[in-house]
Amino acid sequence: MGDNGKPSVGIFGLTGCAGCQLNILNIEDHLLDILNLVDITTWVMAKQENSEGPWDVAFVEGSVAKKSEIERVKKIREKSGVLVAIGACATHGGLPGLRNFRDISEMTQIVYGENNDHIDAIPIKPVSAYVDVDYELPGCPMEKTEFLEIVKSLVMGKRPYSAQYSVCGECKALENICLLKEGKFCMGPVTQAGCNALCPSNGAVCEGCRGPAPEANWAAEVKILKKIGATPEDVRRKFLKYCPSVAEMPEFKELEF
Amino acid sequence: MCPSYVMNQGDITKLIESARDSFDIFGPVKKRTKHVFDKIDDPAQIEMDYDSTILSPRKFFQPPSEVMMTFDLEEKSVDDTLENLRAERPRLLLAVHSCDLNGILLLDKVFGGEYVDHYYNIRRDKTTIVGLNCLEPCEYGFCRSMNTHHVVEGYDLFLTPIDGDRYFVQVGTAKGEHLIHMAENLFTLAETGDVQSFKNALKHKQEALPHEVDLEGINEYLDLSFSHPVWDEIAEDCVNCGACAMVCPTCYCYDVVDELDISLTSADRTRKWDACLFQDFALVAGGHNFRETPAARLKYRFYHKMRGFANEYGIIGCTGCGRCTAACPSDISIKEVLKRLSTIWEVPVSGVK
Repeated sequence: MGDNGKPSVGIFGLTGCAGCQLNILNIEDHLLDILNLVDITTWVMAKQENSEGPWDVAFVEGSVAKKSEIERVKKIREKSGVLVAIGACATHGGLPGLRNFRDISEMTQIVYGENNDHIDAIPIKPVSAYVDVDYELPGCPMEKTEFLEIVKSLVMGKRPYSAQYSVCGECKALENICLLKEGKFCMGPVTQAGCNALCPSNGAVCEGCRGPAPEANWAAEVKILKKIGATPEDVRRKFLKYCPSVAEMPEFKELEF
Repeated sequence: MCPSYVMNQGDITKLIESARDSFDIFGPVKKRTKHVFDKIDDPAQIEMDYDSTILSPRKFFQPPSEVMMTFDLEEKSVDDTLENLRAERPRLLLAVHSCDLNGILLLDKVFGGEYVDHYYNIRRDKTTIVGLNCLEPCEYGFCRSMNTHHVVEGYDLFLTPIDGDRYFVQVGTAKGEHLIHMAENLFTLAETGDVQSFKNALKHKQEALPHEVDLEGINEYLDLSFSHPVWDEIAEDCVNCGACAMVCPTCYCYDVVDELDISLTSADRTRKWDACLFQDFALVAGGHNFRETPAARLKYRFYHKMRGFANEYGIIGCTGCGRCTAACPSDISIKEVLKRLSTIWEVPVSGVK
């Protein structure tokens, strides 16, 4: 607890585009309500003076992409009561994880040139690869509504609500035309709901940024995508684009593309 | 017994004009390559000649998400929102096919039976329904097989296309009669020739709609195939997305969620469409899940529609509208599953599964 009796909160960024932190700032209608409930003692993006902890709740954005970030995230974990990973980078590796599918020293050289000794890049992993994570808010970026839900829930000491189904459930309830039926490679059937089918509702396929839905039937999704013309490489890329950590899952390794 | 009428098909737009002062009007409109029931602001939007809609008319009576109660924690007061519903404008729902009228009648049994659901029934009472006869089969439907290709009630007016350019108009209720009076100049009393055209249309329909699934023996073959590996086979393709349940005209399950406002001073109790395919559908406090596997959930969806619903309400809970087949990303067809099950007549595997 902070001095004012409110839970203390730290918001941190690892490797990513910082869009999830920005998305918290974008909750303009409710920022003051949030500050009524919690005391944000550390948030380098938004504050001039920041505490060194401890925190009741830490929100961690970004993937672990450098050796130094392993130590950093471990320290945050040690000093925090609850740790929440926010956004696809923190929960599943995110877009930076595309790097994992190329040679890391070659990539370092392409980006930073010959003098790259100061770059301590390691294969991209989500926060949960190194420390215990209490809650994950997936998505690229994280949903504002889910952030509000978890803040409320933590303050009230209840478990936050999260949908236990895939994007299709939300998409159909919105009466969208099924993009798979139009031959577009949509990940809706196997992707965790909670975004209110934002992309398909606007005519763009689900890219799977929110990670696998509970008990996602990947084999069936592979079959669907191939039936409408996806190549094995198309399918693999779809699955790993936003969620490279999926590549480590036994269910993924068993898949036949 | 009310007399029957005829009207020009082109006059449906005039009917909409005449009724718009009294009703919010909804009907089939185009959405890219499909149709949906939507609000008709411009009468020219209505597309009477439509195959099916993505969602069924269920959405008008039990919307995908609705606030059932609001709580004011400072005033310590509760509002059940029913007054707001009662204050809403009456609705006119146009061009509802026979399968969907039968679907609404099934929902009536659920929400108007032993436990009366006021939210549903207020909306239902405030809605006038104009049915529309299908004389040709649609892409995925199998209404003839499910005996839902005709209706004996559930409409206020019922239109059957005749002679290519007119509708034969049957009046089902006083609400329908009221609608006729609202636009009297559009309707003329049916004469002998019109009745003959009506009969011809029905005869054409009888020949055009295929009878594809044999319901005779459905209880028996479902009982016998309960432990059959066929369910695991179908489950291999099922992604458990619940699209079939969302589009179904007779699915009615919902989840109730209390959502506290971020100011912690007010809250909403909201019900949202749920689906028996979802992982936590049969999850109870303490962590036990009565339907733990996706295959079990898929199977129970079938058994509830085809078997359990009949046990409870005396009628099979499927109208053969075909929407689930149209919506399934894996192209699982309820019609094909039924056909396949009807060929499995085996002694059930022993033991309880």
